[in-house]
Amino acid sequence: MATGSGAAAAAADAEEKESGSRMITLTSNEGKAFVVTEASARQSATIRSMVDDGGCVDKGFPLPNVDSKTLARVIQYCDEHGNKEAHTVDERAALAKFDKDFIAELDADKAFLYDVTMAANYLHIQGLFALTTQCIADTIKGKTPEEIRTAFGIEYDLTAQDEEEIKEEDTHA
Amino acid sequence: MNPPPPQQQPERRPPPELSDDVLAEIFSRIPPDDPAILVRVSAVCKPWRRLISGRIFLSRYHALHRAPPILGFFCEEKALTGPFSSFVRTTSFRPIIPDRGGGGDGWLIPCDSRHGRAFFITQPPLQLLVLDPITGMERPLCAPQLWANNIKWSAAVLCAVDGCGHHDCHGRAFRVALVGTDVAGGATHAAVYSSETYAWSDPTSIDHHPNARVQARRPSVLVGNARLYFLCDNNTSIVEFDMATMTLSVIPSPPPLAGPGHEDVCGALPVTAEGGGLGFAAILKQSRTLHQWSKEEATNQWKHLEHVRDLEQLLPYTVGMYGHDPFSRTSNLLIGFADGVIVVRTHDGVFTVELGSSRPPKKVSRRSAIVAAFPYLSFCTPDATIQSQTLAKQESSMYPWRNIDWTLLYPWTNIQWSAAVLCAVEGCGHGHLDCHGGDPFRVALVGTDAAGTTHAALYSSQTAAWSGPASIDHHPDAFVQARRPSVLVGNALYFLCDNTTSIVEFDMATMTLSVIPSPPLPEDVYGALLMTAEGGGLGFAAVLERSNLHLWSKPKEEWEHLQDVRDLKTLLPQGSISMMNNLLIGFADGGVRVVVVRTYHGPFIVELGSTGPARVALRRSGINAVFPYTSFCTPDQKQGTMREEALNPDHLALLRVLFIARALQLLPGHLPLIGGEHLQQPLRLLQGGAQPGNLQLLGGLQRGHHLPHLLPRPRRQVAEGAAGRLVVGVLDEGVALALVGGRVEGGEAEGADGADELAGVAELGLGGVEADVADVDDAAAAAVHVGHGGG
Repeated sequence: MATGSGAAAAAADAEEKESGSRMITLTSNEGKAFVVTEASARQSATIRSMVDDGGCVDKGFPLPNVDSKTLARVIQYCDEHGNKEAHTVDERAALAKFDKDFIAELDADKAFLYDVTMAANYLHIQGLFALTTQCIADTIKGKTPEEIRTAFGIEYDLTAQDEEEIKEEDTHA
Repeated sequence: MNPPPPQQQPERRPPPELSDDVLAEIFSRIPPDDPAILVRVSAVCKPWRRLISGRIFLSRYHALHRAPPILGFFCEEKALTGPFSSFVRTTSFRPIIPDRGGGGDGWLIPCDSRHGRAFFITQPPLQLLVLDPITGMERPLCAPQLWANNIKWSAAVLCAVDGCGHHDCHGRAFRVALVGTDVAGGATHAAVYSSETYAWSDPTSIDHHPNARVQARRPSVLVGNARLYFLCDNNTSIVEFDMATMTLSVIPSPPPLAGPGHEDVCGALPVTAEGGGLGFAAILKQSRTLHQWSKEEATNQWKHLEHVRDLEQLLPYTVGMYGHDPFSRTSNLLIGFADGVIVVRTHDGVFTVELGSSRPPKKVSRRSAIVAAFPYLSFCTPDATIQSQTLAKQESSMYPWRNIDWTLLYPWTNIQWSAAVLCAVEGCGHGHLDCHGGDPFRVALVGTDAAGTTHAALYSSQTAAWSGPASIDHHPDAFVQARRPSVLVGNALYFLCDNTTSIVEFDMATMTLSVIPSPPLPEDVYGALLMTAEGGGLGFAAVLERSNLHLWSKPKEEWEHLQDVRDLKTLLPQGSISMMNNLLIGFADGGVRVVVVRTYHGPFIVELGSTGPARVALRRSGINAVFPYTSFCTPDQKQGTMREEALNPDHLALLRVLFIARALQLLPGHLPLIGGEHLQQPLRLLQGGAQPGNLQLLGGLQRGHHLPHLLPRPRRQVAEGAAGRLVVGVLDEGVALALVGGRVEGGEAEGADGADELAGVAELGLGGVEADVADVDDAAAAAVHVGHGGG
């Protein structure tokens, strides 16, 4: 049932439908096609609304803002949450464990984590977006501004005046 | 159909940029109970800063987190000298609090905290103050005179804006309700103050109700928008004050407390019930259990809630430590509540207990003398503090001197004041250099109201009364700049007006106001300041052509432009000139005449008549007015461990730093070396054995055991040389402090009591070299450059 991202990548041009479930093709900005179940694709509110609006499911959906590597990972999340049930305690625990491992793995590669976050926002995948933003927020929590700048590749652009303001805020916050 | 439209995406480079949308989502997941995190995040870069201080993010943040967190508690503590106030922190938040919190007469004691504000009271004489602890905005309220001193007040402060979520009502309208029982007569009075009308309502009273003695300065409950509940002394009844109808009534406490054969309690407090109605919590002494009730609106009956908690099990110390000394009926262990949490006082400190939950209590303070705790709940996001600077400019945060009768000000609350304080002794010796302590003084207030009328009044400490007021009506140019330095020439005070083109003269001898023109100025003025000219007449300084400092004097009717024009660019560090148009923020004439210039690096001192570079006074660029404090400050004789002759020019340099810090209210008033009666040693000491300092840096001095445990690893630096000893450190508030003394016995600066508050490290080099009091801790960085004294 679940089309793993690896399998999807291998069957790049596959268009055939599996019996019992519609398949949807998502195309990365590099032109690579990923075939996923409709249930998996519906994790994305963006795609869900297009499907419900009777969009051209057959032609697939090009995603010009998402590269192949990111899309593969996003699909991994969607497959897990879209194709599996979450009715029993055990099932929910399994999903929670999946999320934990999923985010731990992403957390190791910050640049990739940000890519996935941007994609989750763009595709409106609420669960994934919450997962990644919470992870980034947790990272920020314990960091100094300098460490945050490094982590986010931000250039220092504050004037002395700004700094003073901040210091004053900081003295009572 | 079509794929989602492509977003504007910047070029990919690792690590990728996150869109504002994503960032806002990330920031909104940062918990509100540690305000320091958002401040740090806002310090990362400008776009982030803009995002976090933006309305859109804030409303999203408030919506996501709903209830503001408890940032701490304003507490009343009992001490032998009387009650005093403290703030018990439960987060990294530090409130801006008035410097009058501790002990003795006239000190501010917390009375309520609600909707982001705190309310303080003194008694007697009655003074009332509303404080926004985030913005630091203070609003002293005038207490109706008719209310005698023997009323013990409780109070409630609340936001007066309809439909306000109270997440962010800084600076908005508020009301204050006072409810109190006349100790002598037994009548209970109540009245409401409105910040919009600046006035109290007519008081309402219940006469001599036997049970209606309202407990003083205890938490109250607000139900709906208008009904307040205050507990009475004997715990058996509650006073209800309906602000909508201005009626007072008395209702009984829950049955075990009220009525015949009631049980003894060792703690009782009205609380907010689940759902927002009136609730009640009490500790029954017999069973040592914590009980709760809620008032049923329909039946008007108390309903006992099932969740009873065993106090013995919850807080063993509460009961155990008191042992043979069982609580009397008057002792009250329940000292505050907020948002499902009740605050319990024990011998072992103060704990919060969650109502309706089985979680163990949380210790918030070790101090067992706290008798009332008012939780301060608010979102403290960087936005609020940015706004505060604007607001603080708009709404005058006057610091009422104690002992001054402010009643004259009452109809004038709408006015932005400037003021001057001066010695009132005719022919005062030393040219006012040593008129500390009991000598009489005068205070002149000059200010323009919204209608354009300028008022002036004069206070004399001898008669303890105001004279005047004098007024000039609607003079088009006479808008006096608020809280800016003024100049005293003879009997007249001069205040600059907003447009810098005219000056208000207040002749204190004749009590007349007049307006005189400034020197002719071009259109672009980057700073203007009144000063005393050489020889004591009226002078004027202005920055023209972006950086040229021009000076004028006014020997007679006409202004005289002085030849000595100086380019600030050559005096100040490159690029430090602020782009603001009020570069000149202060002036002092203490032997050397100096102008204080605002720069991006903080205030700089420019010596007039010297060609040397300007000296930085303090590394804080937000300062927009400086009132130099010139005085001779000499070691206290009583302490006896210092040798006076040790003072030298280096000391003087440091003293200047102190004066400015003090004038900016950066230093607490009780430090022994700079204030009050301790300044008794006149000039001759300084002129005596002054030698060029050859002070050298010594190692850090550890005195941890003397320091409040709250401070992080305290250290201070001592410089010692032939001439004496200097101590420089950084206070908890980020204030650089220098103490000056002669050689100190015993190897430590024992003479300087204030030094016990020092924390942090400071580096100090002296002997003509500019030195930094370097970055000490990221939350409280302060730096002082100490220039060579002589100039």
